[in-house]
Amino acid sequence: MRPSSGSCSDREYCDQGGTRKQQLTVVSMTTAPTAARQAFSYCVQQVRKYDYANYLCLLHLPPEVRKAAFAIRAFNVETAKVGDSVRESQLGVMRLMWWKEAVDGIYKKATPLDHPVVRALTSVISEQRLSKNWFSRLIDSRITDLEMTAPPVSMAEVERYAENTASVLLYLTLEAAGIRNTSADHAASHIGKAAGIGLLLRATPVHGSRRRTYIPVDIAAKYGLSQEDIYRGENRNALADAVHEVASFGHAHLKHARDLAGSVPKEAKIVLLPAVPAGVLLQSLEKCNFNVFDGRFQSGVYGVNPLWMQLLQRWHAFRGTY
Amino acid sequence: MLRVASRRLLQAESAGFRWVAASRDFHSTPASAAPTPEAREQKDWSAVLDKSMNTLFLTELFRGMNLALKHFFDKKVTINYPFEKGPLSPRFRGEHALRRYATGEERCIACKLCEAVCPAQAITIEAEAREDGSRRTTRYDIDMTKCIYCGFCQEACPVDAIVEGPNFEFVTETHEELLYDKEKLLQNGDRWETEIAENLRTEGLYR
Repeated sequence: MRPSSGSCSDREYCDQGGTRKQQLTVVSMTTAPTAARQAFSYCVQQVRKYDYANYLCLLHLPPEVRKAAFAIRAFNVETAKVGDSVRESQLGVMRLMWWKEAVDGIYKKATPLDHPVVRALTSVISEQRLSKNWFSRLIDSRITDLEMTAPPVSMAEVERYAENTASVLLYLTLEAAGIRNTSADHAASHIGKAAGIGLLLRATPVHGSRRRTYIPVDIAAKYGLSQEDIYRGENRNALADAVHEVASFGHAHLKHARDLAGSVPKEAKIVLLPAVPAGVLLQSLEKCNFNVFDGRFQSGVYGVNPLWMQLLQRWHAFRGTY
Repeated sequence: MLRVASRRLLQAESAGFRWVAASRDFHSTPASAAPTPEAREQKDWSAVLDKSMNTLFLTELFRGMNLALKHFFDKKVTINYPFEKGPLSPRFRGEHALRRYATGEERCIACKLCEAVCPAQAITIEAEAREDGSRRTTRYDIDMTKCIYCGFCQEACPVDAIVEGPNFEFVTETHEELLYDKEKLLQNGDRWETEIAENLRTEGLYR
């Protein structure tokens, strides 16, 4: 994408003409809202590109919450991508530390670091009150995840990771929507765990190619599945058994969250819509008999047609369920 | 061979020509070079026939021509290089480029992580705040003759600004032309953006 020469403020700074000062003031006056808009549009693009299922969910949110939700999800995308783009985990930690500093900067009201997502978050946080705690938890758990060399020991570890990476996004969105409700938070916790577990299971082949796995050691041992089998995609039967057990945890969380639906306020339900793609993911995993290497499971949006996913979400949004 | 040599030595000794055996120098032919008359007689008659038939009917020539003809009709393995290029991995690490956002704003924010991480110390950055308060580099130099193309700079970059693009054809005539400055790197970025963006794209989130 080539820069358009007319509207870009960057070009004007390079301009050495005599009217530079005058131009600058004009630019800074006119670009203040457009810069924010550009930052948000970058966030939307990132979420759409990397997290399509949740992108569809966010479209159902009321406009004032949607802005914040996209900034939060884009933050998640940026920090999640780090681990996959580095070969040396130390470099990934460095990048995550940069994000940590960026978040610190936002809350200290310092000049924000120049990244569209940081700019979007700055403008969101200046309007709505989001607790910094959630952002720190997200980054910290990603750092520990990068530094982790062995697979998780038990399901509790996986659940903690899922809560710290997926549930916090829902907590933040609930905060941005101004909803303070215990059962909504409770449901968000369970939905996040289900979504996080589903995501990790879906990525098992990708992780395996990098000699990583999130299938806990105790469950793998129960079915006589060695880590090498997971990395190579061998011993499929035992792998399917282990995946089934891990997915059952996700399913239980989702069921728990849906049982809570009665006490969750109506406006919170639309925020908790990511439960739908999480459910779809677990269902399509079941359909292909818990074989994570199945082509049907890996294709489409979580193994289903994007249009079907969209209709399903619309239906749930219309019915006020999740 | 050794046995033949020692036998000859023994023969020479018994004949009283001891001085002949001792006076071996670089001009004399080695003892085993000429086959003994017995060995020459042991040659198989059918082998001789085969050899002479081959010579008479030029079969080797035809077999060679056949091979040449086969390769003539085979699929070509060579490519017409400057016009055709071999396949490249999306992770190929070639010439560096500095990218911009879709809005035209340059991505680099002068955090200097790439400079810090570069094992060859090929990157030099100088930065200052611009008038609107954002930090930008005033100087971003890469010495392409120092660079070892390890790709750590692109892995360390939090904004995906510096990348090693898919270009591998950037030979120059002088050393100075390989000392890239910011302008050249941004130019590379504009030129290769489509390919770079496509290579950086992954299918989705994995963690």
